Amino acid sequence: MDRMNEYQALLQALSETPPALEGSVARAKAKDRRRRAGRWCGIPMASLGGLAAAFVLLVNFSLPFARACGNIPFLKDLAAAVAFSPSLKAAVEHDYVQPIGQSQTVNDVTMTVEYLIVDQKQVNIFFSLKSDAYTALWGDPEVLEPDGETGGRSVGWRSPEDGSGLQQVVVNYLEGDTPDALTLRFKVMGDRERAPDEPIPAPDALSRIGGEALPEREYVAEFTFDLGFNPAFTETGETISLGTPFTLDGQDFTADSVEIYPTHVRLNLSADPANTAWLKGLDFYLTDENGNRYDKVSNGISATGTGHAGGMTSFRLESSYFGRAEHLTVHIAGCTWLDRDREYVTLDLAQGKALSPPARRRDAGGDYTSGVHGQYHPFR
Amino acid sequence: MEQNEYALRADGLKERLYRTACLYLRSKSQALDAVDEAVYKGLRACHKLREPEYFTTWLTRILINVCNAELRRHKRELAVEELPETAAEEFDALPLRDAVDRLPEALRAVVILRYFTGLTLAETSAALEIPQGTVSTRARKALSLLKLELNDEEAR
Repeated sequence: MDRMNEYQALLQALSETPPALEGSVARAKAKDRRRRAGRWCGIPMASLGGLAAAFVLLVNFSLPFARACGNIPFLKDLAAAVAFSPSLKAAVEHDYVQPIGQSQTVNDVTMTVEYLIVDQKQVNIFFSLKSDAYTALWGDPEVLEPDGETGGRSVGWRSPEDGSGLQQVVVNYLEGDTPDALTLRFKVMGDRERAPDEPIPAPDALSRIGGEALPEREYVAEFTFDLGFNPAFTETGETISLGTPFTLDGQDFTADSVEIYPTHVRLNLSADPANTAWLKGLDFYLTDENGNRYDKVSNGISATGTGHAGGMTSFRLESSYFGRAEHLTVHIAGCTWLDRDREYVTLDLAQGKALSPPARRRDAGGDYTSGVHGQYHPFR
Repeated sequence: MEQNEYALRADGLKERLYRTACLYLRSKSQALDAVDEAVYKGLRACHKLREPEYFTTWLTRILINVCNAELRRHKRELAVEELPETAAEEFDALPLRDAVDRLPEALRAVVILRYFTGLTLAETSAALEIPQGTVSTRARKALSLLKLELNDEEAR
Protein backbone atom coordinates (compact mmCIF):
# COMPACT_ATOMS: atom_id res chain seq x y z
CA MET A 1 0.00 0.00 0.00
CA ASP A 2 1.48 3.33 -0.99
CA ARG A 3 1.40 6.37 1.23
CA MET A 4 -1.64 7.96 -0.41
CA ASN A 5 -3.65 4.79 -0.03
CA GLU A 6 -2.52 4.62 3.58
CA TYR A 7 -3.61 8.20 4.07
CA GLN A 8 -7.09 7.55 2.66
CA ALA A 9 -7.44 4.39 4.72
CA LEU A 10 -6.43 6.20 7.88
CA LEU A 11 -8.93 8.98 7.20
CA GLN A 12 -11.61 6.37 6.69
CA ALA A 13 -10.71 4.66 9.94
CA LEU A 14 -10.78 7.92 11.83
CA SER A 15 -14.18 8.82 10.45
CA GLU A 16 -15.69 5.83 12.21
CA THR A 17 -16.76 7.35 15.48
CA PRO A 18 -18.08 5.47 18.50
CA PRO A 19 -21.80 5.87 19.31
CA ALA A 20 -20.87 7.30 22.71
CA LEU A 21 -19.51 10.40 20.99
CA GLU A 22 -23.08 11.51 20.39
CA GLY A 23 -23.52 12.15 24.09
CA SER A 24 -20.46 14.37 24.61
CA VAL A 25 -22.34 17.65 24.92
CA ALA A 26 -25.05 16.10 27.10
CA ARG A 27 -22.41 14.64 29.42
CA ALA A 28 -20.67 18.01 29.64
CA LYS A 29 -23.95 19.68 30.61
CA ALA A 30 -24.69 17.01 33.19
CA LYS A 31 -21.19 17.32 34.66
CA ASP A 32 -21.60 21.08 34.87
CA ARG A 33 -24.94 20.65 36.64
CA ARG A 34 -23.33 18.27 39.13
CA ARG A 35 -20.53 20.74 39.71
CA ARG A 36 -23.03 23.48 40.50
CA ALA A 37 -25.09 21.20 42.73
CA GLY A 38 -21.95 20.03 44.47
CA ARG A 39 -21.46 23.45 45.94
CA TRP A 40 -24.79 23.14 47.65
CA CYS A 41 -24.18 19.76 49.14
CA GLY A 42 -21.21 20.86 51.16
CA ILE A 43 -18.65 19.23 48.91
CA PRO A 44 -15.22 20.65 49.78
CA MET A 45 -15.02 24.06 48.21
CA ALA A 46 -12.77 24.55 45.23
CA SER A 47 -13.70 28.16 45.45
CA LEU A 48 -15.00 30.01 48.45
CA GLY A 49 -16.22 32.66 46.07
CA GLY A 50 -18.35 30.10 44.28
CA LEU A 51 -20.11 29.16 47.47
CA ALA A 52 -20.55 32.80 48.29
CA ALA A 53 -22.15 33.40 44.92
CA ALA A 54 -24.72 30.68 45.44
CA PHE A 55 -25.34 31.94 48.94
CA VAL A 56 -25.93 35.49 47.79
CA LEU A 57 -28.51 34.32 45.28
CA LEU A 58 -30.44 32.35 47.86
CA VAL A 59 -30.22 35.03 50.50
CA ASN A 60 -31.62 37.51 48.04
CA PHE A 61 -34.34 35.36 46.59
CA SER A 62 -35.34 33.07 49.43
CA LEU A 63 -36.52 34.61 52.66
CA PRO A 64 -36.73 31.22 54.47
CA PHE A 65 -33.16 30.46 53.48
CA ALA A 66 -31.97 33.87 54.58
CA ARG A 67 -33.62 33.40 57.95
CA ALA A 68 -32.29 29.87 58.30
CA CYS A 69 -28.78 31.10 57.65
CA GLY A 70 -29.06 34.04 59.96
CA ASN A 71 -26.79 32.40 62.47
CA ILE A 72 -23.92 31.77 60.06
CA PRO A 73 -22.13 35.03 60.64
CA PHE A 74 -19.39 34.89 58.06
CA LEU A 75 -21.40 34.14 54.95
CA LYS A 76 -24.23 36.31 56.11
CA ASP A 77 -21.81 39.19 56.45
CA LEU A 78 -20.36 38.60 53.01
CA ALA A 79 -23.81 38.61 51.44
CA ALA A 80 -24.73 41.75 53.36
CA ALA A 81 -21.50 43.48 52.41
CA VAL A 82 -22.21 43.28 48.68
CA ALA A 83 -26.00 43.61 48.80
CA PHE A 84 -25.93 47.39 48.39
CA SER A 85 -24.11 47.26 45.07
CA PRO A 86 -25.48 45.49 41.97
CA SER A 87 -21.99 45.49 40.46
CA LEU A 88 -20.32 43.87 43.47
CA LYS A 89 -23.17 41.39 43.79
CA ALA A 90 -22.58 40.34 40.19
CA ALA A 91 -18.85 40.12 40.84
CA VAL A 92 -19.38 37.76 43.77
CA GLU A 93 -21.89 35.70 41.81
CA HIS A 94 -19.25 35.20 39.12
CA ASP A 95 -16.49 34.22 41.57
CA TYR A 96 -14.76 37.51 40.87
CA VAL A 97 -13.34 37.60 44.39
CA GLN A 98 -9.81 37.31 45.71
CA PRO A 99 -9.86 35.62 49.13
CA ILE A 100 -7.23 36.96 51.56
CA GLY A 101 -7.76 35.76 55.13
CA GLN A 102 -4.98 37.81 56.74
CA SER A 103 -5.56 38.40 60.44
CA GLN A 104 -3.85 40.43 63.19
CA THR A 105 -4.67 41.07 66.85
CA VAL A 106 -3.70 44.22 68.77
CA ASN A 107 -5.04 45.24 72.20
CA ASP A 108 -7.85 42.70 72.18
CA VAL A 109 -8.97 43.80 68.74
CA THR A 110 -8.69 41.38 65.83
CA MET A 111 -8.80 42.70 62.31
CA THR A 112 -9.14 40.23 59.44
CA VAL A 113 -8.94 41.22 55.80
CA GLU A 114 -11.27 38.69 54.26
CA TYR A 115 -11.72 39.48 50.57
CA LEU A 116 -10.71 41.77 47.78
CA ILE A 117 -12.74 42.74 44.74
CA VAL A 118 -10.28 44.46 42.44
CA ASP A 119 -10.25 45.61 38.86
CA GLN A 120 -8.27 48.03 36.75
CA LYS A 121 -9.81 51.11 38.38
CA GLN A 122 -11.16 50.13 41.78
CA VAL A 123 -10.11 48.23 44.89
CA ASN A 124 -12.67 46.98 47.40
CA ILE A 125 -11.24 45.63 50.65
CA PHE A 126 -13.65 43.72 52.90
CA PHE A 127 -12.55 43.17 56.48
CA SER A 128 -13.91 42.46 59.92
CA LEU A 129 -13.11 43.94 63.32
CA LYS A 130 -13.83 41.82 66.37
CA SER A 131 -13.20 42.22 70.06
CA ASP A 132 -14.58 41.01 73.34
CA ALA A 133 -13.50 44.26 75.00
CA TYR A 134 -15.41 46.69 72.77
CA THR A 135 -19.05 46.92 71.88
CA ALA A 136 -18.47 48.86 68.67
CA LEU A 137 -15.42 49.30 66.49
CA TRP A 138 -14.75 51.70 63.65
CA GLY A 139 -11.84 53.72 62.38
CA ASP A 140 -9.87 55.70 59.85
CA PRO A 141 -8.39 54.01 56.80
CA GLU A 142 -5.20 55.09 55.14
CA VAL A 143 -4.08 53.56 51.88
CA LEU A 144 -0.41 53.66 50.94
CA GLU A 145 0.88 52.86 47.50
CA PRO A 146 4.28 51.32 46.79
CA ASP A 147 5.52 54.48 45.06
CA GLY A 148 4.07 56.81 47.68
CA GLU A 149 1.67 58.32 45.15
CA THR A 150 -1.56 59.60 46.69
CA GLY A 151 -3.02 61.71 43.89
CA GLY A 152 -5.71 60.84 41.38
CA ARG A 153 -7.63 58.56 43.63
CA SER A 154 -10.23 58.57 46.37
CA VAL A 155 -10.47 56.46 49.47
CA GLY A 156 -13.78 55.69 51.12
CA TRP A 157 -14.85 53.60 54.06
CA ARG A 158 -18.18 51.95 54.65
CA SER A 159 -19.32 50.35 57.86
CA PRO A 160 -22.25 47.99 58.16
CA GLU A 161 -25.22 49.59 59.86
CA ASP A 162 -25.43 46.96 62.56
CA GLY A 163 -21.73 47.32 63.35
CA SER A 164 -21.09 43.60 63.30
CA GLY A 165 -20.43 42.61 59.71
CA LEU A 166 -17.78 43.15 57.11
CA GLN A 167 -16.50 46.66 56.71
CA GLN A 168 -15.33 47.98 53.39
CA VAL A 169 -12.60 50.28 52.17
CA VAL A 170 -12.94 51.33 48.54
CA VAL A 171 -10.19 52.98 46.52
CA ASN A 172 -11.16 54.59 43.21
CA TYR A 173 -8.61 55.50 40.58
CA LEU A 174 -9.40 58.28 38.12
CA GLU A 175 -6.79 58.33 35.38
CA GLY A 176 -4.26 55.89 36.72
CA ASP A 177 -4.72 52.19 37.19
CA THR A 178 -4.81 49.98 40.25
CA PRO A 179 -1.25 49.17 41.33
CA ASP A 180 0.01 45.65 41.92
CA ALA A 181 -0.11 46.08 45.68
CA LEU A 182 -1.33 48.41 48.40
CA THR A 183 -0.78 48.83 52.09
CA LEU A 184 -3.89 49.32 54.19
CA ARG A 185 -3.33 51.08 57.50
CA PHE A 186 -6.41 51.15 59.70
CA LYS A 187 -6.61 53.04 62.98
CA VAL A 188 -9.37 51.65 65.14
CA MET A 189 -11.60 53.47 67.61
CA GLY A 190 -14.02 51.70 69.88
CA ASP A 191 -16.62 51.86 72.61
CA ARG A 192 -15.40 49.77 75.49
CA GLU A 193 -17.57 47.08 77.01
CA ARG A 194 -18.73 48.38 80.40
CA ALA A 195 -18.94 46.42 83.57
CA PRO A 196 -22.51 45.75 84.74
CA ASP A 197 -22.10 48.18 87.62
CA GLU A 198 -20.21 50.85 85.71
CA PRO A 199 -22.26 54.07 85.34
CA ILE A 200 -23.26 54.98 81.83
CA PRO A 201 -22.27 58.52 80.83
CA ALA A 202 -25.12 60.98 80.54
CA PRO A 203 -26.16 61.57 76.94
CA ASP A 204 -25.02 65.21 76.99
CA ALA A 205 -21.51 64.11 77.84
CA LEU A 206 -21.32 62.41 74.47
CA SER A 207 -22.55 65.31 72.40
CA ARG A 208 -21.34 68.71 71.39
CA ILE A 209 -22.33 71.30 74.02
CA GLY A 210 -22.14 75.06 73.71
CA GLY A 211 -20.09 74.87 70.53
CA GLU A 212 -17.28 72.96 72.24
CA ALA A 213 -15.91 70.10 70.27
CA LEU A 214 -15.51 66.80 72.00
CA PRO A 215 -11.95 65.79 72.70
CA GLU A 216 -10.55 63.59 69.97
CA ARG A 217 -10.97 59.92 70.57
CA GLU A 218 -7.93 57.83 71.08
CA TYR A 219 -7.18 54.98 68.77
CA VAL A 220 -7.41 51.62 70.48
CA ALA A 221 -5.46 49.72 67.86
CA GLU A 222 -3.63 50.24 64.61
CA PHE A 223 -3.19 47.65 61.88
CA THR A 224 -1.09 47.49 58.75
CA PHE A 225 -1.79 44.97 56.00
CA ASP A 226 0.25 44.55 52.84
CA LEU A 227 -2.11 43.44 50.11
CA GLY A 228 -0.94 42.02 46.79
CA PHE A 229 -3.39 41.85 43.93
CA ASN A 230 -3.86 39.04 41.48
CA PRO A 231 -2.80 40.47 38.07
CA ALA A 232 -5.75 38.72 36.47
CA PHE A 233 -7.96 41.13 38.40
CA THR A 234 -5.96 44.34 38.11
CA GLU A 235 -5.84 44.00 34.33
CA THR A 236 -9.55 43.44 33.96
CA GLY A 237 -11.46 46.09 32.07
CA GLU A 238 -11.89 47.38 28.57
CA THR A 239 -12.33 50.76 26.89
CA ILE A 240 -14.54 51.16 23.84
CA SER A 241 -13.94 54.30 21.79
CA LEU A 242 -17.10 55.98 20.53
CA GLY A 243 -16.66 59.51 19.14
CA THR A 244 -20.44 59.96 18.90
CA PRO A 245 -21.74 63.56 18.86
CA PHE A 246 -25.12 64.39 20.40
CA THR A 247 -27.09 67.38 21.62
CA LEU A 248 -28.80 67.80 24.98
CA ASP A 249 -31.04 70.78 25.60
CA GLY A 250 -29.22 72.67 22.87
CA GLN A 251 -25.79 71.91 24.34
CA ASP A 252 -23.39 69.89 22.20
CA PHE A 253 -21.40 66.93 23.47
CA THR A 254 -19.39 64.02 22.20
CA ALA A 255 -19.57 60.60 23.80
CA ASP A 256 -15.86 59.83 23.74
CA SER A 257 -15.68 56.36 25.20
CA VAL A 258 -17.17 53.76 27.49
CA GLU A 259 -14.99 52.01 30.03
CA ILE A 260 -16.36 48.70 31.29
CA TYR A 261 -14.97 47.27 34.50
CA PRO A 262 -16.38 44.59 36.80
CA THR A 263 -17.07 47.17 39.52
CA HIS A 264 -18.56 49.94 37.38
CA VAL A 265 -18.97 51.46 33.93
CA ARG A 266 -17.76 54.92 32.94
CA LEU A 267 -19.34 56.98 30.19
CA ASN A 268 -16.89 59.70 29.20
CA LEU A 269 -18.16 62.86 27.52
CA SER A 270 -16.55 66.03 26.25
CA ALA A 271 -18.44 69.32 25.99
CA ASP A 272 -18.35 71.77 23.12
CA PRO A 273 -16.43 74.86 24.34
CA ALA A 274 -19.22 77.00 22.89
CA ASN A 275 -21.84 75.52 25.24
CA THR A 276 -23.59 78.05 27.46
CA ALA A 277 -24.02 75.75 30.48
CA TRP A 278 -22.08 73.14 32.39
CA LEU A 279 -23.52 69.66 32.63
CA LYS A 280 -23.79 69.06 36.37
CA GLY A 281 -25.84 65.90 36.50
CA LEU A 282 -27.20 63.21 34.24
CA ASP A 283 -30.17 60.96 34.90
CA PHE A 284 -29.46 58.01 32.69
CA TYR A 285 -29.09 54.25 32.43
CA LEU A 286 -27.89 51.53 30.07
CA THR A 287 -29.74 48.59 28.59
CA ASP A 288 -28.41 45.63 26.67
CA GLU A 289 -29.86 43.28 24.09
CA ASN A 290 -30.70 40.75 26.80
CA GLY A 291 -33.11 43.08 28.57
CA ASN A 292 -30.74 43.95 31.41
CA ARG A 293 -30.75 47.47 32.80
CA TYR A 294 -27.75 49.12 34.44
CA ASP A 295 -28.58 52.21 36.48
CA LYS A 296 -26.25 55.00 37.43
CA VAL A 297 -24.18 54.42 40.51
CA SER A 298 -26.17 55.21 43.63
CA ASN A 299 -23.43 54.47 46.18
CA GLY A 300 -20.06 56.15 46.02
CA ILE A 301 -18.74 58.28 43.20
CA SER A 302 -21.37 58.83 40.52
CA ALA A 303 -19.56 61.36 38.32
CA THR A 304 -16.28 63.20 38.05
CA GLY A 305 -15.25 66.41 36.34
CA THR A 306 -12.06 67.94 35.15
CA GLY A 307 -12.24 71.22 37.07
CA HIS A 308 -13.94 72.96 39.93
CA ALA A 309 -16.57 74.49 37.64
CA GLY A 310 -16.11 72.58 34.45
CA GLY A 311 -19.11 70.34 34.75
CA MET A 312 -19.08 66.58 34.91
CA THR A 313 -17.33 64.68 32.15
CA SER A 314 -17.28 61.08 33.35
CA PHE A 315 -20.46 59.44 34.61
CA ARG A 316 -20.64 56.10 36.34
CA LEU A 317 -23.09 53.25 36.10
CA GLU A 318 -23.47 49.83 37.57
CA SER A 319 -21.38 47.33 35.67
CA SER A 320 -22.52 45.47 32.58
CA TYR A 321 -19.27 43.46 32.62
CA PHE A 322 -20.82 40.17 33.62
CA GLY A 323 -23.88 40.66 31.42
CA ARG A 324 -21.76 39.71 28.41
CA ALA A 325 -23.69 42.12 26.24
CA GLU A 326 -22.67 42.82 22.67
CA HIS A 327 -24.64 46.07 22.47
CA LEU A 328 -25.36 48.73 25.05
CA THR A 329 -27.84 51.57 24.66
CA VAL A 330 -27.62 54.77 26.68
CA HIS A 331 -30.99 56.19 27.81
CA ILE A 332 -30.88 59.79 29.03
CA ALA A 333 -33.97 60.65 31.04
CA GLY A 334 -32.93 64.07 32.29
CA CYS A 335 -30.01 66.33 32.98
CA THR A 336 -29.04 69.18 35.28
CA TRP A 337 -27.32 72.33 34.07
CA LEU A 338 -25.44 75.20 35.59
CA ASP A 339 -25.27 78.33 33.50
CA ARG A 340 -21.69 79.36 32.90
CA ASP A 341 -22.26 82.83 34.36
CA ARG A 342 -23.64 81.30 37.56
CA GLU A 343 -20.64 79.34 38.62
CA TYR A 344 -20.12 81.19 41.90
CA VAL A 345 -22.39 82.46 44.65
CA THR A 346 -21.37 84.92 47.36
CA LEU A 347 -22.35 83.98 50.91
CA ASP A 348 -22.60 86.14 54.01
CA LEU A 349 -21.54 83.62 56.63
CA ALA A 350 -22.35 85.93 59.54
CA GLN A 351 -25.92 86.40 58.38
CA GLY A 352 -26.22 83.00 56.81
CA LYS A 353 -27.51 84.49 53.56
CA ALA A 354 -26.62 84.36 49.91
CA LEU A 355 -25.70 87.82 48.62
CA SER A 356 -26.17 86.85 45.03
CA PRO A 357 -29.04 84.83 43.63
CA PRO A 358 -28.56 81.10 43.96
CA ALA A 359 -27.50 79.20 40.95
CA ARG A 360 -30.26 78.48 38.52
CA ARG A 361 -30.58 74.83 37.85
CA ARG A 362 -32.32 73.73 34.73
CA ASP A 363 -33.59 70.28 33.99
CA ALA A 364 -34.18 68.93 30.55
CA GLY A 365 -37.93 69.18 31.04
CA GLY A 366 -38.02 72.83 32.13
CA ASP A 367 -36.42 75.52 34.27
CA TYR A 368 -36.62 75.97 37.98
CA THR A 369 -34.55 77.60 40.70
CA SER A 370 -33.03 75.76 43.58
CA GLY A 371 -30.19 76.01 46.04
CA VAL A 372 -26.63 75.31 45.02
CA HIS A 373 -26.41 71.72 43.96
CA GLY A 374 -24.17 69.64 46.17
CA GLN A 375 -20.91 68.49 44.68
CA TYR A 376 -18.69 65.82 46.17
CA HIS A 377 -14.96 65.98 45.64
CA PRO A 378 -13.41 63.25 47.75
CA PHE A 379 -10.16 62.99 45.82
CA ARG A 380 -6.95 62.98 47.74
CA MET B 1 -21.18 32.97 23.73
CA GLU B 2 -24.29 31.59 25.41
CA GLN B 3 -24.30 27.96 26.53
CA ASN B 4 -27.11 26.98 24.16
CA GLU B 5 -25.24 28.26 21.13
CA TYR B 6 -22.07 26.65 22.44
CA ALA B 7 -23.83 23.28 22.78
CA LEU B 8 -25.03 23.40 19.18
CA ARG B 9 -21.66 24.32 17.75
CA ALA B 10 -19.73 21.89 19.94
CA ASP B 11 -22.05 19.11 18.84
CA GLY B 12 -21.28 19.93 15.21
CA LEU B 13 -17.55 19.84 15.86
CA LYS B 14 -17.30 16.70 17.96
CA GLU B 15 -16.33 14.33 15.13
CA ARG B 16 -13.41 16.50 14.09
CA LEU B 17 -12.37 16.77 17.71
CA TYR B 18 -12.52 13.02 18.04
CA ARG B 19 -10.28 12.49 14.99
CA THR B 20 -7.78 14.94 16.43
CA ALA B 21 -7.80 13.26 19.82
CA CYS B 22 -7.43 9.80 18.26
CA LEU B 23 -4.25 10.83 16.50
CA TYR B 24 -2.87 12.57 19.54
CA LEU B 25 -3.63 9.78 21.99
CA ARG B 26 -3.75 6.60 19.81
CA SER B 27 -6.58 5.27 21.91
CA LYS B 28 -10.25 5.47 21.01
CA SER B 29 -11.37 5.33 24.63
CA GLN B 30 -8.88 7.99 25.70
CA ALA B 31 -9.88 10.09 22.69
CA LEU B 32 -13.53 9.92 23.74
CA ASP B 33 -12.61 10.93 27.28
CA ALA B 34 -10.52 13.81 25.95
CA VAL B 35 -13.37 15.08 23.79
CA ASP B 36 -15.72 14.88 26.77
CA GLU B 37 -13.27 16.82 28.92
CA ALA B 38 -12.64 19.46 26.24
CA VAL B 39 -16.36 19.94 25.61
CA TYR B 40 -16.93 20.30 29.34
CA LYS B 41 -14.10 22.80 29.74
CA GLY B 42 -15.45 24.73 26.78
CA LEU B 43 -18.95 24.77 28.28
CA ARG B 44 -17.62 26.31 31.45
CA ALA B 45 -15.54 28.89 29.60
CA CYS B 46 -17.78 29.72 26.64
CA HIS B 47 -18.95 32.97 28.20
CA LYS B 48 -15.41 34.26 27.73
CA LEU B 49 -15.50 33.62 23.98
CA ARG B 50 -16.45 37.03 22.63
CA GLU B 51 -15.66 36.34 18.97
CA PRO B 52 -17.68 33.32 17.80
CA GLU B 53 -15.83 33.15 14.49
CA TYR B 54 -12.89 31.71 16.41
CA PHE B 55 -15.00 28.96 17.95
CA THR B 56 -13.40 26.11 16.01
CA THR B 57 -9.81 27.06 16.76
CA TRP B 58 -10.69 27.96 20.35
CA LEU B 59 -12.26 24.59 21.12
CA THR B 60 -9.55 22.76 19.18
CA ARG B 61 -6.93 24.48 21.29
CA ILE B 62 -8.75 23.39 24.44
CA LEU B 63 -8.75 19.81 23.12
CA ILE B 64 -5.03 19.95 22.31
CA ASN B 65 -4.32 21.13 25.84
CA VAL B 66 -6.38 18.26 27.23
CA CYS B 67 -4.56 15.77 25.00
CA ASN B 68 -1.14 17.13 25.92
CA ALA B 69 -2.01 16.91 29.61
CA GLU B 70 -3.11 13.33 29.09
CA LEU B 71 0.08 12.52 27.21
CA ARG B 72 2.21 13.96 29.98
CA ARG B 73 0.27 11.90 32.48
CA HIS B 74 0.83 8.69 30.54
CA LYS B 75 4.25 9.46 29.16
CA ARG B 76 5.82 6.35 30.59
CA GLU B 77 3.06 4.12 29.32
CA LEU B 78 3.28 5.48 25.81
CA ALA B 79 7.07 5.30 25.68
CA VAL B 80 7.12 6.83 22.25
CA GLU B 81 10.40 8.44 21.48
CA GLU B 82 10.55 11.51 19.34
CA LEU B 83 12.95 11.05 16.53
CA PRO B 84 15.11 13.80 15.15
CA GLU B 85 13.76 15.57 12.10
CA THR B 86 16.55 14.19 10.00
CA ALA B 87 15.52 10.56 10.46
CA ALA B 88 13.63 10.43 7.19
CA GLU B 89 14.65 6.94 6.26
CA GLU B 90 13.09 5.49 9.40
CA PHE B 91 9.78 7.24 8.77
CA ASP B 92 9.74 5.82 5.30
CA ALA B 93 9.69 2.30 6.67
CA LEU B 94 6.93 2.89 9.21
CA PRO B 95 3.20 2.59 8.63
CA LEU B 96 1.71 6.06 8.20
CA ARG B 97 -0.02 6.16 11.55
CA ASP B 98 3.13 5.11 13.40
CA ALA B 99 5.16 7.58 11.42
CA VAL B 100 2.81 10.40 12.39
CA ASP B 101 3.15 9.37 16.01
CA ARG B 102 6.90 9.56 15.84
CA LEU B 103 7.11 12.97 14.25
CA PRO B 104 8.58 15.72 16.41
CA GLU B 105 5.74 17.26 18.40
CA ALA B 106 5.74 20.57 16.52
CA LEU B 107 5.44 18.84 13.14
CA ARG B 108 2.95 16.25 14.36
CA ALA B 109 0.55 18.93 15.62
CA VAL B 110 0.56 20.66 12.24
CA VAL B 111 0.01 17.42 10.32
CA ILE B 112 -2.84 16.30 12.58
CA LEU B 113 -4.70 19.61 12.43
CA ARG B 114 -4.01 20.38 8.78
CA TYR B 115 -4.40 17.00 7.10
CA PHE B 116 -6.55 14.91 9.45
CA THR B 117 -8.70 17.35 11.41
CA GLY B 118 -9.34 19.52 8.38
CA LEU B 119 -8.40 22.92 9.73
CA THR B 120 -7.42 25.58 7.20
CA LEU B 121 -3.97 27.13 7.19
CA ALA B 122 -5.29 30.13 9.11
CA GLU B 123 -7.18 27.97 11.61
CA THR B 124 -4.15 25.77 12.21
CA SER B 125 -2.07 28.87 12.74
CA ALA B 126 -4.59 30.23 15.24
CA ALA B 127 -5.06 26.92 17.05
CA LEU B 128 -1.33 26.43 17.55
CA GLU B 129 -0.64 30.14 18.00
CA ILE B 130 2.14 30.16 15.44
CA PRO B 131 2.49 32.21 12.21
CA GLN B 132 0.97 30.84 9.04
CA GLY B 133 4.39 30.75 7.40
CA THR B 134 5.61 28.50 10.18
CA VAL B 135 2.61 26.21 9.65
CA SER B 136 3.46 25.93 5.95
CA THR B 137 7.12 25.24 6.63
CA ARG B 138 6.38 22.59 9.21
CA ALA B 139 3.73 21.01 7.01
CA ARG B 140 6.15 20.70 4.11
CA LYS B 141 8.82 19.24 6.33
CA ALA B 142 6.43 16.76 7.92
CA LEU B 143 5.00 15.62 4.60
CA SER B 144 8.52 15.13 3.33
CA LEU B 145 9.39 13.00 6.34
CA LEU B 146 6.21 10.98 5.93
CA LYS B 147 6.79 10.56 2.19
CA LEU B 148 3.29 11.83 1.73
CA GLU B 149 2.57 13.95 -1.30
CA LEU B 150 -0.31 16.22 -0.34
CA ASN B 151 -0.91 19.81 -1.28
CA ASP B 152 -3.16 22.44 0.23
CA GLU B 153 -6.09 21.46 -1.99
CA GLU B 154 -5.91 17.90 -0.77
CA ALA B 155 -5.95 18.89 2.86
CA ARG B 156 -9.35 18.09 4.31
